[in-house]
Amino acid sequence: MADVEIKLDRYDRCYSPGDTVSGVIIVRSDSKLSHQGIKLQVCGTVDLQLSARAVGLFEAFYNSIKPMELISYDITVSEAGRLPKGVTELPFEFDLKPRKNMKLYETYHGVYINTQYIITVEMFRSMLAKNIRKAIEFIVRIKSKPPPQNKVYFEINPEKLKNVQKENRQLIPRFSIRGHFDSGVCNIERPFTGNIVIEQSDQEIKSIELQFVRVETCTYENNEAREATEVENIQLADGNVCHGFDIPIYMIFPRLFTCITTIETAFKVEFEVNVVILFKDTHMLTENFPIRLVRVPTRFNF
Amino acid sequence: PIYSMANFGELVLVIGDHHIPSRSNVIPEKFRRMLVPNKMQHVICTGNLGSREQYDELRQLAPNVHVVSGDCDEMVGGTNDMPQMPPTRVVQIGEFRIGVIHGHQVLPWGDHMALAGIRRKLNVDILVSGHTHQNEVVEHDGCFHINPGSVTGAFSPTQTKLVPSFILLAVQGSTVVCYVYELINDNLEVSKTEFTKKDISSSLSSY
Amino acid sequence: MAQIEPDRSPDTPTFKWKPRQRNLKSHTYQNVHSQSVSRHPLEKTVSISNKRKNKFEHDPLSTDYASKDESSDPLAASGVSAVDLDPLTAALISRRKESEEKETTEPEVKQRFQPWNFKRRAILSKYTTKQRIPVILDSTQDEDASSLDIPVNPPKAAVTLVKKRKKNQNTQNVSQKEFLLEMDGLRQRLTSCWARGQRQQALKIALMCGKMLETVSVPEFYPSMFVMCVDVLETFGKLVHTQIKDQYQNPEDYQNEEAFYFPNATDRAKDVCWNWFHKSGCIRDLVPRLYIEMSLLPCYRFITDSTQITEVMRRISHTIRGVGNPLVASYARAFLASKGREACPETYQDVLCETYGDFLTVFREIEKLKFSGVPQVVSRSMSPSAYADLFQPALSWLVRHIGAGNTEEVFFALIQQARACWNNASVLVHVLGAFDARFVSKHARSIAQLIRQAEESSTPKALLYRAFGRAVVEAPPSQEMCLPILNEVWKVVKKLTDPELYMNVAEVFVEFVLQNFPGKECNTLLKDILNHVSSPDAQKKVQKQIHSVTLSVMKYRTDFDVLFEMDNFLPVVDLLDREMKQSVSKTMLDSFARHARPTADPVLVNALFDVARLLHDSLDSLAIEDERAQVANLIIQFIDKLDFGNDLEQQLNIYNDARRSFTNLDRVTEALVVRVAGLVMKAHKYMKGRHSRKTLAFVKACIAYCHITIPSLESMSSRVRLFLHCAQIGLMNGLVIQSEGMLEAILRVFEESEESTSEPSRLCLETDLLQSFLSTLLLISGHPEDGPFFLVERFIEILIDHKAWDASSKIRLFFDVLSLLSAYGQTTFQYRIPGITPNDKMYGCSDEYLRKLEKLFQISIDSVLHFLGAVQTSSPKEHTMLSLAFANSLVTCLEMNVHSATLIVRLNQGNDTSSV
Repeated sequence: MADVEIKLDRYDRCYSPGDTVSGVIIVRSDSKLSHQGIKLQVCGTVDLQLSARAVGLFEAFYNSIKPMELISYDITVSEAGRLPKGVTELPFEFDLKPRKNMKLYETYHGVYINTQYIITVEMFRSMLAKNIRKAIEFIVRIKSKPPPQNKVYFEINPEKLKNVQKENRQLIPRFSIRGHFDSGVCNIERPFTGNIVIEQSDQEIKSIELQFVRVETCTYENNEAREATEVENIQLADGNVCHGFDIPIYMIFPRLFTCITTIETAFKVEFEVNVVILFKDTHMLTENFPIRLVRVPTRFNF
Repeated sequence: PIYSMANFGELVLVIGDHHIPSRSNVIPEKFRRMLVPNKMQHVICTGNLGSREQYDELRQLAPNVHVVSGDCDEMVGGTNDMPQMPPTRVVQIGEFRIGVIHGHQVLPWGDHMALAGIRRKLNVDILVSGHTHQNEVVEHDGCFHINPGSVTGAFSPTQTKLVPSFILLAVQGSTVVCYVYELINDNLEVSKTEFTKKDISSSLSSY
Repeated sequence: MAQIEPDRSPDTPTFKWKPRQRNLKSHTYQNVHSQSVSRHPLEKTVSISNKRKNKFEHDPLSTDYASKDESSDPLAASGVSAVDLDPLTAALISRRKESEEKETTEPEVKQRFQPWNFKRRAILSKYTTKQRIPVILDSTQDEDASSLDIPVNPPKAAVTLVKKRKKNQNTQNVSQKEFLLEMDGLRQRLTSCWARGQRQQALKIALMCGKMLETVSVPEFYPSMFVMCVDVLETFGKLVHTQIKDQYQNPEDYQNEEAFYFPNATDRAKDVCWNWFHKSGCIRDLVPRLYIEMSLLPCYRFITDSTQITEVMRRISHTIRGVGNPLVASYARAFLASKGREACPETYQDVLCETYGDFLTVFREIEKLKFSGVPQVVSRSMSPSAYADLFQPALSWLVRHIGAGNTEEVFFALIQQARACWNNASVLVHVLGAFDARFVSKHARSIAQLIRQAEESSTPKALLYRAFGRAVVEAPPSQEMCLPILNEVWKVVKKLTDPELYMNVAEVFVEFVLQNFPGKECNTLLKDILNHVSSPDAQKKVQKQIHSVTLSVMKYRTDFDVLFEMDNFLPVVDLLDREMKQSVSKTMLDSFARHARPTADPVLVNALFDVARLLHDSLDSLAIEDERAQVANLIIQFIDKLDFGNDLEQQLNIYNDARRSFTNLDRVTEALVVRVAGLVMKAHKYMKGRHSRKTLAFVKACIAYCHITIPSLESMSSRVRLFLHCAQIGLMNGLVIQSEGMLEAILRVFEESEESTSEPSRLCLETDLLQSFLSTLLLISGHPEDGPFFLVERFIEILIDHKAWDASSKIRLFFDVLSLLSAYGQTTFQYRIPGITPNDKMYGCSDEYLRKLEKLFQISIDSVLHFLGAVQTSSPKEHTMLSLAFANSLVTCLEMNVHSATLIVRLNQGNDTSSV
């Protein structure tokens, strides 16, 4: 019995462009082992897929989108030879650099867009024995400069509603809601913060929620397919809160399902938050705010 | 710290007939100063302590306390919540078997012939008894009868001179030194007697 | 030793049975080897302090060591190194030190902090319901977060009508009992899931608990529900904490808990920890998210320092503002307090002050809206004050956390906040109880005013005064403040009409008055109590408080003269029902026995006599033995405190009264006999053994008292014992006839025991009593008509004929009789009482005397042989043993001659001896 495993030096398997990715290939064997060479393959791709909803419109190009190859290495770790019985560690390393004319994007598992980096090790065996393969994913994170502080203030009242005609406005309960986000450009490694205050509301409030939405866009021959999905929904208030209370907004960005805001010609990944207020009479009030995500590594991520 | 005195053997306090509070109020101050914890390894008490507090005080003095019941222990009248004590006890200390009895059962009180009978019945080398309120150290047929008297000098129908007294035994193997402590006119007087246990065959033949 | 002596010369009459003469000195080697010693083992025993040591140096026992003869002084050798401080004293000193330390640290240790478990039980028993409670049986709802109907790309600001969000929660309504069982099951499921590695499932269970705390369908049960759910959540939090600790390679290498935490935590531990916080962070619903994060709060210690944790706490505290239901929010705040204490004990209180402010704001809002947000109050199924009461445990818990060991500034801040926000008694009552009592006491006057101004809603002001009183009792204010405080408080309290509320305050303030006012104030307060609880109906309600008042009074007024100077005290005791009064009487007598000096004060004696009589009379035939013994002990202790000094007549009078008063308790009667006999000896000592006519009359009266009293005792052995004791005392005082009377009385008890079915066997077992009785007979002189042995003869007759005593016992008693007869035959008796001429002096061993003795020997020997015959048939083994013992007895008692030797030889051979 023989077994191969890849172990990266970093416990969290996170790397940034320009980093050297290093680790060992661990071969375990309960007898002497001869092989025809051990090879490492590094591969990073962006896969684009369109949703079923979009398929009807864009069947033509649905099949023709090819994955974008961002990085590709073939490394020979060992030429053909023999390995002793027991555990053998074979070190390897490579620089995390994109292919020519390419850029590295953050690891991201979206619904329509998938960016993924994989290291595969393969041990070639003689004709009779099967090759042994193992693959692991490593995570790429793109660092940015600290974003400028730009607080976003908001005020919601019936006058500002866009989907209500003037003559119907008196039907809507009176309310005044105020708040702010600490920044419209957000560090993905820090929570999204701000506050909200119900200054006045005739109608009893049932719930206040913060919805985190990502918008994926694929571009092909001047056509755009745009899809928005909810990534997270956090209830900020449950029931009729005290008026005038300063209620904090606090949301941790989910890992992997979120990446920094990425705008390319072929695809875009963007983010928005919605402040959602549900009234007891089943009226629902939403206000939408686009936000930009960047990554500034911090020691504490809260 | 107690056993650092090993070369002097074990110290055994022999005491009894307190009759506190029915006949006396306290153990005399001069005695109390001497009777402090961690000196003695054993306390042998002939009974008639008089109250639970006296018993508790004895138990402070040494790790091993052997008490027998006296004729007044049942009579103190209500406040007495003394644990029930046996009428006789046998304690082995060094090479000595020591028997204890209060002594009101001895007929007539304090008679050495009668005491010898009890001593033989208990099969002991030393018989400790009280009740007469008269301290005694007596050799009898090669064995010993010890009576510590009353530590408070309490009254007794058979006693006119009320002398508070108790006895301390220093037992070392087959030898015992017997110290008698008496308060005569409030002056402490101590006397000692030393005796050695005869070997078994001779003590048997003496009977 | 045993030698057969040759017969005497022919001119002296020969006796078949003659007592063996013993030389009283022959075996006595006392002081033969004995030498006087100056050194002995008990020398130089104590040296407690230098002071004492100096004192001892004047003592003959502690003379110089230098000359000590070590061989004669085993203790001296060790004495040098043994103890500078003897262990008993050392132990005493260290114990005192300990208690001193305890005293100083106590306020901090106590911290007025009851552990959660303590509250838990109280809450569960108080907040109950008969309604059915919804329970979430399965929680899959946390998965459906993504299936919400909120449009993801609405216009910039929009209002729309939404369909009710579907809740696929599977809930069921259960009874309270079922609920408790369900929650218990849930906790077990949680641990078993965890043990199987099903972390996700475990989290779901914890979430369910959080979810259940979200809604208040049955408000009156909510506090209990909270307690149960928190149990599960705490368990969850602990499991996660342990899991993180398990990430450490060799946990045993870490010396203390701190070593596991930030900044020492390993990356793995941090990573696992972060994962949990990410999981909890994305829980959609507010309340479950809060509860999960709070239950994991102590885990933050793995990843960050206390400053950051304080920030986390602050954020959570703020987030709780989003919880719309005030009841849900306030319990969440209580939970935050509890977990915050675990996570950052140094700083958590600062955050809680703000949390407390939030609580007040919410409550002010509720009152402003006149409880319109509470459906139960609106529908009138619950009163506003009952609703407000539901918040008490949470508020109390929160405030107690803030108050524990906190500063005076914070104390005032809390009071200020309450005044500014919601000046309600129910807040103030917790604040007063939560902080160091010294703060309250220091500003007692202004706080008393504050209390007067506070609004009562769910908490009556009386409870505030009670909490206030507790504080000033614990930390007494300065002397000049006490009276103004008392006036300020009583101005309000005396107007209270509800006896229960009134007594709740009075109970505490009685202690305050006792502590701070030495004079009549307490009596005045007691008078006020009497006025307030005059109706029997009221008295019934406040028994507990009155009881506590009486105990306080006795605790502080241990001087019984002062106690009984308060003429309202006993009337207050009278308010108690029978059982309580009994218990107070017991405490009173006990306290008297413990604290009082011996007394002869007639007022005191009378009052306490009444108390003791009350206690005595309260015992009916149904009282159990323990109870009787306890009461008897108390009464005896009381009697022993009555001391008229040298006025022995007065002392006897009081014993007379006592005998009349406590007839139902034999133990007391017995004690009285012993005490009266003691009086005789007191007189004896006083007169140095020579009575005057007056004292002789007195001791006669005493002995008469005993003689009259003893027969009323039920126990035969007690009667014998006491008669014997009194007879001896009588003899010592020269009262021969009286003593003979008592010894005869003993014989009558023996006779009587023949008829009695219960006691004779017991009496027979107590042979030591009979032996002592026989020994006493030796002190008595013969009777001019009935001869020298009249009592022994009577005893022998009784012994022979006694129907209840068995043969073996009789034989053994005859051995004792033989010993006595032998003692009677000595030329000098073993002992005598001065002033009484015993038989040895009276008859001088005359032939006639010896003849009579011989006759008794004959009767006794015949009787033994007769009874031996009876034993032989029933138990041969017993027969052999008794025969041997008989031989032994004969050797000791008789002079050896042909008759005695033959008898002994035949006994030893086991031959038939009936013909001797």
